[in-house]
Amino acid sequence: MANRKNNQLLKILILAAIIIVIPILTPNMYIMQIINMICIYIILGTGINVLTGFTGQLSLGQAAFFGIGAYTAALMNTRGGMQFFLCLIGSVLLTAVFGVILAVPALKVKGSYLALLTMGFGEIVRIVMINWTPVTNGTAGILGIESPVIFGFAFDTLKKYYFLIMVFVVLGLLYQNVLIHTRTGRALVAVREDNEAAELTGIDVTRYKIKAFVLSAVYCGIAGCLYAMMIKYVSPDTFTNNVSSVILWTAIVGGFGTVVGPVLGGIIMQVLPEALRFLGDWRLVVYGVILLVVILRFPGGLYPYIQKFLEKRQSKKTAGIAAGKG
Amino acid sequence: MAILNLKDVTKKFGGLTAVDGVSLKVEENQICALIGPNGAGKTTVFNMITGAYQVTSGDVIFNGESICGKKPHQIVEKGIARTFQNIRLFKSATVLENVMTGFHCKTKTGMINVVFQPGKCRREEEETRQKSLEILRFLGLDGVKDSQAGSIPYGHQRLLEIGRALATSPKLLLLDEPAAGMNSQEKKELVETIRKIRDTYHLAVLLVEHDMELVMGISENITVISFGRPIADGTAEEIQHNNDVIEAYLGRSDD
Amino acid sequence: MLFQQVLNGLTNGSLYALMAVGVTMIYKSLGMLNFAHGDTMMIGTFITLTFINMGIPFYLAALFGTVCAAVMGFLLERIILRKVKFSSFVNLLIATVGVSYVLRNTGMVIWGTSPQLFPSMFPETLIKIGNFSITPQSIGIILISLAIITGLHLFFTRVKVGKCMQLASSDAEGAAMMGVNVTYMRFLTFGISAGLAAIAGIMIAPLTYARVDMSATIGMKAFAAAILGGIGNLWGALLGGVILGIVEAVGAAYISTAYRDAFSFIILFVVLFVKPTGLLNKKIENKL
Repeated sequence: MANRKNNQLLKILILAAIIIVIPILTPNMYIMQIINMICIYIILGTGINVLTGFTGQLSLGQAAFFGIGAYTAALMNTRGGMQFFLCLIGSVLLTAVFGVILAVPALKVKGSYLALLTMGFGEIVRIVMINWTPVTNGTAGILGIESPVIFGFAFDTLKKYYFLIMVFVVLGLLYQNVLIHTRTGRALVAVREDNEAAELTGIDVTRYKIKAFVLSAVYCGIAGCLYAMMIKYVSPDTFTNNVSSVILWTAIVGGFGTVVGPVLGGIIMQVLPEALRFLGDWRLVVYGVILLVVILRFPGGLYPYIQKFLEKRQSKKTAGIAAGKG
Repeated sequence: MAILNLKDVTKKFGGLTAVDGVSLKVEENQICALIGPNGAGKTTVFNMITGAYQVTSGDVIFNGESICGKKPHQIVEKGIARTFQNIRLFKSATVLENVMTGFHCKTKTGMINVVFQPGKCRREEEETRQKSLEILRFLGLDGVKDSQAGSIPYGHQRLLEIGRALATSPKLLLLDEPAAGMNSQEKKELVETIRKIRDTYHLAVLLVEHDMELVMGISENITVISFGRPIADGTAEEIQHNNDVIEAYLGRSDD
Repeated sequence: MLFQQVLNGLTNGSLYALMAVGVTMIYKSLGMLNFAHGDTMMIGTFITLTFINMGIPFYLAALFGTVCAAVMGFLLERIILRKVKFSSFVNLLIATVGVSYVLRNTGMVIWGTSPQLFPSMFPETLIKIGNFSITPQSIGIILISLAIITGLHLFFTRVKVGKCMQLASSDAEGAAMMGVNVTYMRFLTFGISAGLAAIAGIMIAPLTYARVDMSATIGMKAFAAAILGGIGNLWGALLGGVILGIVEAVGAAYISTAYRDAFSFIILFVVLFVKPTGLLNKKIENKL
């Protein structure tokens, strides 16, 4: 028992060391930016994982929440002169409200209708971003967002900012890991598996679907706020249908309904297009094809397959040791 | 006092009357059965008790209180649990998790207090786990507690559904064809299990079942419906000698 | 003025209807929306444009484009449906989204993102009747769309292959038992659906320019029209398309041009909220 605890502590320490070493080893800002984007996508992927992975509600409109979070932070900062924490709270609250607004019609539909509804929601939000010029400044977007300053410490470089994002990544993943092993997590899974049986096991299905929408929206809101304050610029171009698809894939490619899935997905989804840069214009096409193959070849995402593979190797190893001893 | 009291319950779908003026009583700690030929409206009655369907007219009294118009999950909270004819487990969750899910309405941990009261939530979680294991041991399923619910044998899945229902601490357990697909040995065990459940958990059982031998052997009171109408009500002996019942089942030699 | 807007709406609406028919056909046979529908249309349109620019006569180019789109429909069926048995519904749906992503980006690489002029098959002259005017283009679009949808209706109700397709979509097992080759029928469904999309695209492009991002906007409108009318229903698609077109035109004229594209999504929200089965369907579809 003590041994297991020590083991766990060791794992945590190694993980912490990796997290701290990453920015130190990173040679340039270009790669640092990619790493920070990976982190933001891990938050986004974790958010949609709650909704689609655990609760079974497909969403193709996550970019809308991402955008609402980013615009809220951008506006509160540039117009209201408010600091990071206030902006973050604003992003969280507003995305939560929009989570409820989308959840209400979404309760009535499922499957491809739900996908379409969420996609439509994303488009409406983007159209509003483009056309509500007095507030959003239209297609030009909002410039001049300030870096966060927390207790006198300015997160003004990408490396410093990395640690700020990392705090939210770790908290976000921890929270999800705790949540899915509670009553709430089980209720969400029950809703995914069988609406009616869940209701007849005493679960208020309507309420939990709304909760899932709100929670996933809030994750996106946090990611949006962090994004806006990192890039210091927001425009409607960042929050398109394509981005919604990428967010969904982040959770799917890694492993839907697993906590590690979005982490793996975030890395793959951000590194792949960069790794394919040598293809020039064709890289996004090849990117799409690779993802398509992964989705069709590994339904349920890569993580479960990796897990199975490791288990197999592990059992082979133990079998080998046992045989050697015998 | 009757724990469940259906008063002249009627259900119409459009112009079609599926259930027409059915009344039945289930006493506390009693095992009752609702039988009738195929399409008689038994499952519809179940669906009205659990709140899945709204009654068109009549009243459903549970524990001295009308539960008409309540949502299914509220009715579960009041103390009515059910199983399904075509097993509906949360298939990709484990056996233990399925039972733990059943404790939903008896626990409190939410999305927010899990952050602010972690100790309390952990204690509640541990308690839920222990109680769930207890139920699994009672049903003899503790050996497969970590298997995926969808992967265990059929008979075990039926038991697990009962286990999940028991986790909601019901005062009344509705079993929808619990013996479907079982062989005669399994059926005998099932009868024992149902009696044991009643005695251990002090609850009433209302079952819908096609197997007459099982129904006659276990039920203290039987209600018979045919084409949505009640045609008889009484003990197994009375039902077996009731002319209306014999007529309703006439031609069905397998019964 | 209002009449003029209604007429414009009718023109666009009949094109949405043509797209919606394809959406509806695939939904019926697959039980889900094909999110690559709009992109098939876009590719078909641009292939046609490429042929026209190469100096091939309009009608021949249009034929080529339509056939290419149909072949893409067939391919899509191969890629997606082959996996039906092994994959979950969510994955299938995501796969169509993935195909859409690939097609759209392919379109951007080959044809760029800027709008391109697309020749019309109709003369440009205005026909004036009293106070309002109408282009031969509008008349042509409305008539062709109507003719195609009516033709499809006859095909599905009178021609043997069409009847088999209908049966295979609504009851695959029953159809298989009666000796219908269900796989082949699905194949045809995808091909016809894609071909129709290309025809619609070829007629839309002269009105809006040919642009790669038309796949998203027009695609969404096709979904909205199909659902508004009642999915799986040919006449529903027509009705939904026409209503959508008119609401859009009138809304753009009297409320706001900027939010023109938002109207269809708002209608979609309202329909899904109030009557998800659409205007012409009664039975609730229990398919996912």
